[in-house]
Amino acid sequence: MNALIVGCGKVGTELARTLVNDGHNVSVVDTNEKALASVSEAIDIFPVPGNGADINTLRDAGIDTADIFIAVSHSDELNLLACLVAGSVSERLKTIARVRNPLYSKETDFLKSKLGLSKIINPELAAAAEIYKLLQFPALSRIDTFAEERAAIFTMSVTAGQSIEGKSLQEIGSETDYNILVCAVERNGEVTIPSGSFVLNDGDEISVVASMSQMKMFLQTLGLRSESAKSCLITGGGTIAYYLTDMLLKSRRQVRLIEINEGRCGMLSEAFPEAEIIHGDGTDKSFLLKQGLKYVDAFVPLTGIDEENIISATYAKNVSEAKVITKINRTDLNDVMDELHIDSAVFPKLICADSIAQYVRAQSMGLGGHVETLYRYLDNRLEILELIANDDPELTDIPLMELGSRLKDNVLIACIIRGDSFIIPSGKNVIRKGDSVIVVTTHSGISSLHEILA
Amino acid sequence: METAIVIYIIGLALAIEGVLMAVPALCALVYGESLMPFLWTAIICFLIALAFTRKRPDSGFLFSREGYVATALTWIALAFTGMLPFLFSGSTTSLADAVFETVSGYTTTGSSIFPAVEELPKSILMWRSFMHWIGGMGILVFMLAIVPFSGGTQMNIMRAESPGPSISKIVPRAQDSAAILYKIYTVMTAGLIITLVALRMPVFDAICISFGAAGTGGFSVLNTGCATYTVAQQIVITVGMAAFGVNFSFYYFLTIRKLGLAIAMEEVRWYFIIIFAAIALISVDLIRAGLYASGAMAVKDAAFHVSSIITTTGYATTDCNLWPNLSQGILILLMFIGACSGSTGGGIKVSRLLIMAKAYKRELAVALHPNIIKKVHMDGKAMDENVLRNTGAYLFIYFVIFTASVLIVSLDGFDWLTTFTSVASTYNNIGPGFGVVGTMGNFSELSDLSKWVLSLDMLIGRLEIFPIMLLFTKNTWRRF
Repeated sequence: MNALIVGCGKVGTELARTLVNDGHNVSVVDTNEKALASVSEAIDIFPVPGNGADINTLRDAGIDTADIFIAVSHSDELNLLACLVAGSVSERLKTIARVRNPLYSKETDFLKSKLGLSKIINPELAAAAEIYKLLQFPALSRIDTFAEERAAIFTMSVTAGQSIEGKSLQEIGSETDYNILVCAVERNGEVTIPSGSFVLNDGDEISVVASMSQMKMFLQTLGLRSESAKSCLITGGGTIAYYLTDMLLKSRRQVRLIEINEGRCGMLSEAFPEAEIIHGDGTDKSFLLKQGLKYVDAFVPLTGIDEENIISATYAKNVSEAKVITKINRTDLNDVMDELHIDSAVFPKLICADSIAQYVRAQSMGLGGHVETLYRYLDNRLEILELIANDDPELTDIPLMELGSRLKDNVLIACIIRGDSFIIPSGKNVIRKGDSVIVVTTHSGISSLHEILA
Repeated sequence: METAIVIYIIGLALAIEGVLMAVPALCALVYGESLMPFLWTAIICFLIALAFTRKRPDSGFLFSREGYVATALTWIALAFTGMLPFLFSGSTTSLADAVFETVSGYTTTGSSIFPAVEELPKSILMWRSFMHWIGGMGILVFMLAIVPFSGGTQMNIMRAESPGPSISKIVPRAQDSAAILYKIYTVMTAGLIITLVALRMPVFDAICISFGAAGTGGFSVLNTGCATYTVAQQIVITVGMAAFGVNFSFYYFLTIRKLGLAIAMEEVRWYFIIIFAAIALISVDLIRAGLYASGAMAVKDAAFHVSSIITTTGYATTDCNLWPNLSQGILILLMFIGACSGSTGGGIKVSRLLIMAKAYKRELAVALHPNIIKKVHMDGKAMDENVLRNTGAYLFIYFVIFTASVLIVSLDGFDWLTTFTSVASTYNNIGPGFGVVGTMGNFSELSDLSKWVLSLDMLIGRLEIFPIMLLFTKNTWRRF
């Protein structure tokens, strides 16, 4: 496919990298020639300097042959205008705009239909949703859902003394009657898709596929907190904080938000009468303690500066039992975050790039079903896909036992969701047409179920 | 320096060279000549390649420094392996001669140390011409077209190997870009071969001449060059050479039916203006001097040589030493102008001269209005100041190297015309010069020292100076 990206900031770059790795032809338009040059040094793209809403620039970038148009420049208005201009060139062009202003994003559906957009992506809203999900399951470091939230894949660390520590996956499976599957383990920076004889150790990060109800039961048996955080302390009243507060208040949690700008405090208080908006410096330690950092269920630093978020998060881990979730704008700090023992970190730029990549992959419909959902784990070394099965004589209605030898290496069929039933597959199960199949793999770029075959 | 990736790339290029030995080997089979020179060369290439590519380096990254170094070293490695058939077949016993001939082949120069090429085996002649074809578009560009690399790796190689002041991809993927270039190149070459065969040129000649014209090389297969070919064949070669001197983006735009973009290319326009002006001037000069009985034949020879020299091919139909001064002067001028950037030709390139002319115009404006802000435009777009800066520095070092080479070659004690044009024609990858090294002469009488210097000049000229000069820069080899 030919993709055209407007804007080569963090999201644009990450997106270009993903799309090029998936085998698409990518042109990137940006007014900043320096930034373009440095991106094209690292990624095999076609750099086109210029304004993304200028039709001549877009022509240079190959809008006439493009299949997908993604506007992720820093300005909402430019993104919308660029999509409008691009959309006028051809009917079949799919246009995606990043729109982050809460004012516009309330009107998402209206904008989409009136401007003929295929998708509007709001990274702040997506990040807030991610944090909200994590606050519901404080024991997890990451959770993603599939099949309309009926199934989940969650990541947690194994600690000494837990009942699963020191046991092989087979033993865990036979001792408990939970329907769960450990589908990936990260140990010392290495990612493996484990076999039944794999023994879990202290410090392993495991990713588990389960239905929502099974997941809660599993967490309870491990003695982990399975109920959501009731109170939440947020520092920094930016856009993510705005969306997150909105979500938390709607589900009747207690929210205390610290913001340094008095005017912004007023605006937030106007929008959220039930929240406690505190005017003050959220990076000041004694101030944080005064605001009850020790006793809060969850602490979420969301200031605009990554470094301050990381420092407050580390501090909070030392003085409090709270679940700590922070947000990191930079995309290159993934590795460092593992060292810091912060419960969870959310990368809005990566969420945004991932969700567009997922959309693009779903567009390239292949034989044997298409991509419904795509999550990338552990620095993109692992992909977890929800694929919808089509009729495929080489795949459907064949027992997995027989299929097993024909799969690619490092491909795991983690679960099959058929209607309301959630199946952790054994050798006898088959994939039927219309099933949602969750596939875990270290291969990148799978865009249809057929591609899991070797 | 990431040495591992550089070695890996050299290994890959040698492996490709080994495979390419199949072409002259096939020719040897057809003519019942010995296969051994090519077989042994291929085996040596494969052995080195095997050692160099045993493990793929983990950090697949190749920054601009590694790109330049890999390109320069690859070309040097090709020169020393590509010469083996000459030694193995006993065509020459001198190392300097063999290297000179090989570098002349790969860099599409076409200067030869063989006084009588008709005595050489056909397969060796085929290898000489085939080197032109490979060297024209570049063996690394060929490698990019067939071997997938990660990230920006490809552009750093493509930029180092392709001629011209600013190199960009024509489509988003470097691999696709390289493949498109080779497709256009192959189709055009095939077209030329077929046309020449249709005009009853012997198939062997047609293939070799077309390889030479396509790569803008200039090795011929007859002692008399192109003089004995029919007028129709000569005209086809004239047009063919001129066609390969055009920026290949022009053809790409034509294939995707973007006529507007193709016509907007200022460089191509000026290239043809220069060609036609030179043909007109030389024709008039030749007729005035009374060298030709018929005006038409004068125009034909003028066109042939203008096309041959400006594209830096170097084919000849007549002895230009007999031409009047003005005509010779124009040809020497054309040697320096060279073809378009992004073509297979050498020389300074029309685009660089165009850029400098425009920069000069800007300086005039600045002299009149010191506070003026003025961008230099090319093809309707403002040009990056970096390209201007680079072009200025390029021209400076270009003439420094030229002067130094002339001084060294002058040690041989030939007349100045020979000395000057032997450097000009090798440095600009043309082939013949004037005097002793004229269209009907050759480079065999030069000393070994001159041959080595000119071999280096050919490499420097083909790779456009910077890759080779970086090899001699201390900072290139530092880790940090």
